Amino acid sequence: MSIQAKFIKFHDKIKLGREDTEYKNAREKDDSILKDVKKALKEEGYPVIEDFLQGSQSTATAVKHPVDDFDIDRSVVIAFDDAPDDPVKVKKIIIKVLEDRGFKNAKIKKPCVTADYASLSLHIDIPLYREQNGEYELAVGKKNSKDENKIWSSSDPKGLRDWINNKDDYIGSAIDKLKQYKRIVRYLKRWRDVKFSNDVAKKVFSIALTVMAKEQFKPNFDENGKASDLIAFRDTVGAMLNGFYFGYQGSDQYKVLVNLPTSPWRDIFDGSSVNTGTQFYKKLTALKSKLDKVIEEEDLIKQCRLLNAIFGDDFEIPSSSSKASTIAKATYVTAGAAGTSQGA
Amino acid sequence: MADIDSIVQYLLEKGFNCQKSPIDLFKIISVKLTISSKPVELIHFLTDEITGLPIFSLSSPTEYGQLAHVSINKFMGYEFGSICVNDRDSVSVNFSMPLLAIEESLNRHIAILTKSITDPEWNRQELLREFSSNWLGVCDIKSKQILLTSASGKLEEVDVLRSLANCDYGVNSYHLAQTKDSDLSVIARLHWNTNKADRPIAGKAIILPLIDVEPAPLKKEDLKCWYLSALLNVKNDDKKILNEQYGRWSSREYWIIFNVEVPSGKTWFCLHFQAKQKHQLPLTAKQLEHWKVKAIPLRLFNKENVLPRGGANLDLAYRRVALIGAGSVGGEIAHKLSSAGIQHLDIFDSDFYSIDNLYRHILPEEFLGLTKAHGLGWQLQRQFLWSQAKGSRRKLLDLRKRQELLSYDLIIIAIGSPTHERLFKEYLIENEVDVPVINTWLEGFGVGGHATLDIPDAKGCLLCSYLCQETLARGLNSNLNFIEANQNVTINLAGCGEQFISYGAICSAQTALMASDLAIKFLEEKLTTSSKVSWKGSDHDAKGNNIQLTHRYYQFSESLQIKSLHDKDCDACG
Repeated sequence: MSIQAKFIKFHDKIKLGREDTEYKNAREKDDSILKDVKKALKEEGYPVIEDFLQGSQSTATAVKHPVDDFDIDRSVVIAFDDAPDDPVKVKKIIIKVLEDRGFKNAKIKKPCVTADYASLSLHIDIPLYREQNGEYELAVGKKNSKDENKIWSSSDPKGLRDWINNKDDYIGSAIDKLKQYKRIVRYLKRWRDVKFSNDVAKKVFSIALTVMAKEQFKPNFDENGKASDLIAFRDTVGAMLNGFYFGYQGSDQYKVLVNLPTSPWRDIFDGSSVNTGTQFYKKLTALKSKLDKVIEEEDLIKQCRLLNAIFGDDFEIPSSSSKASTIAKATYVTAGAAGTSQGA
Repeated sequence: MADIDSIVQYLLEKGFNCQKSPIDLFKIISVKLTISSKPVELIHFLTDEITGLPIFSLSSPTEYGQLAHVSINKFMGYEFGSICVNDRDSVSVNFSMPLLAIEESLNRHIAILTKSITDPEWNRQELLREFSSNWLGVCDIKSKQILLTSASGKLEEVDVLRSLANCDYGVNSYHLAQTKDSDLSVIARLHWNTNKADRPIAGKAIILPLIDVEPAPLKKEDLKCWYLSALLNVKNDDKKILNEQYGRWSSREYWIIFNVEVPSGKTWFCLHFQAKQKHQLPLTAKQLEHWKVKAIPLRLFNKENVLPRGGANLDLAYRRVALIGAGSVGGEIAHKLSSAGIQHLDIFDSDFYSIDNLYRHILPEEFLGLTKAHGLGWQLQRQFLWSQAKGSRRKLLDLRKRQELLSYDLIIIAIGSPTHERLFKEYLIENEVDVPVINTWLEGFGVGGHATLDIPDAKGCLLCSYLCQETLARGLNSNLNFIEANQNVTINLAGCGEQFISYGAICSAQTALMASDLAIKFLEEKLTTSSKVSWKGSDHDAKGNNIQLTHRYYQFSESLQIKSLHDKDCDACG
């Protein structure tokens, strides 16, 4: 069995898809909440013209957190002409729906409405947009913000999603390369969740890891087309370190800056502390160094031990390198390959 | 080309005793030298252009006895010895430096003459080694050549069937001497009109093995004498049979077909005896007086002779191979395996040969309407005379019969159907059919082709090549492929059921050559591990049709190189 098989097994353990059974309750709640939100907005004269998933669920980069709740990023869109000048007015309708359904910690944050479900491990973020001719504006402002801070801000939520999902730059087995990139994003997220304290981990934003990995992605497949996530991960981490995201502040301190690749092009780490930047840089450097050691190591069990220290117990350490641990037979991924290219 | 004076001057400067012909009309130079106290003269006729190694001929060659690599020719009443210094076509000559070319050639001629004259034992061995070529020098090339189907070479009597009248090519244009131990009798009846009504008997022949032989005679006039000396080299047992049995024949025409071991292997040659009246087979000088004797060309026509000369391997004759798929790839494979010497080839395919197949299939139009498998079997038997190829309409999945499969040394699947191929593989695993299998297929738009060799109990199997590179579970399309899965690569000209993948006969042939090479290497035991091999073509047509190609296509740089098939993540053999 190869180290790649171990990576695939690990990935299967940490990945969180919307159709996964673990996510079933959250998905059902999401559907139910969306229904109530739409009804409430319609009654107030702001009918929802579109809704879509945002964040990691929309890009297939979501991971199970070892401890924390599931996240839902559900965007709702109203028509430009229906929208009031004060965006917070609409956000208040949404928060009332959440409060009525028993959510705790319901808040109107600057970019969205957010809350935790009381009886489920579920955290929900609802960004609100208005749309006209394909242009989106995000409802920005807190409950008690001054009028000048309550604005409709130009945004491109779908552009970001499309940028992450874009595979046009990859030549040969482009889908496989995109999938390898997304696995690497998940590895990075799980590494962050394991290696940082809870407080800091929350500040090493998932979208920042996603953007950095995309910009610096170094796919790795051997000449036969077989993926090596280990080498791709090491090379991508190395490129992230050299990607001019970390600005040296003197005294072994760093600030991190990562711009969104689409509108509004803002720095994801705007307002982030030196402590966050420094920890991020140093832990990323240590990660690269440990991955180098894994690559140098030839024994599969020792490799897995090193990776277990990086990713936690979901990266299993096999008891032996025997065939018994080989992946099970015939877990076909699809019912049929439409139009095989073979002839004779 | 240099003028004659320059050549003479040049050779003189190089120390040769060279002079030109006293008659200006003839552009001839002569080089005189002494080899082992014997005076030797070499003659060169100047040519307008140097197109090969310049030729020097030996004057008065008979004065030196029989010399290896020297054959005697007559020109305008004079005898010249043609000296064979090389296969002339294999020498690349510096035609822009004629003086150097002439000097080099002269030195080569002198070297070989010196060796022949000064080393009698070497000379004799070389004469024997080249017996066959030298014999041709005394053959009557206008006589009908005889094809002899003997395999053993033992003493026996053979009927010589006359060639067909007005037949200038093919086996029917030769006299045919077919022995009792020949395995060509079926083919002979079918194709060569060996029914005596069609090809009457031209006369009697005897195959006569010799225990030793003298070098071939230099002149046709020496044949009788040479024949009498050859009779001294007949085994006593054979001599007895010759005298008591064949010596009592009475005929006007005989052939004696000799065979004997020489340093280059077993050689065969033939003498033809003709008399005005019927006489006994001549076995003494007195009896020989009645007869006119000619050496006539003989061509051995048995598999031991024909197959190795054509590059085939006799050891493969008894290996049993099943070929499933008689399409454009399968057809080429069948042809290549047969040309390599595979005789027991069972071909399975249910398809009928149609007009649609004409431009990329090996079969000619005369097989239209016949099943491809039967057509191929028939065609192979015709072309490869010892082939026992036969066709069947059964499909791959119909062949899931353990005992039958176990009778084969190798199974080759060329059907281009991944589903059936994987189903068949499952059957082999579940029923412990430990027969090696080659799967081969090609891809559309000329991007390439592939073959895998799956040897049971070895690391590496067909399923290694179906391992999904993303999930490492078994996939549905081969990971060897150059075209990404889930694209519509078929072309549809006439509606459902009429789709086809775009590739030409060259792609089929390349794929088949590669698969056949894998098969032969395995059967010859030069390849003992499960293997894979691919060829990569241009992506021009694929790009033109917006076909996406795999990472493997872009990285692949080892066309036709045989690699290990094993993938350690394979659940079946990992």
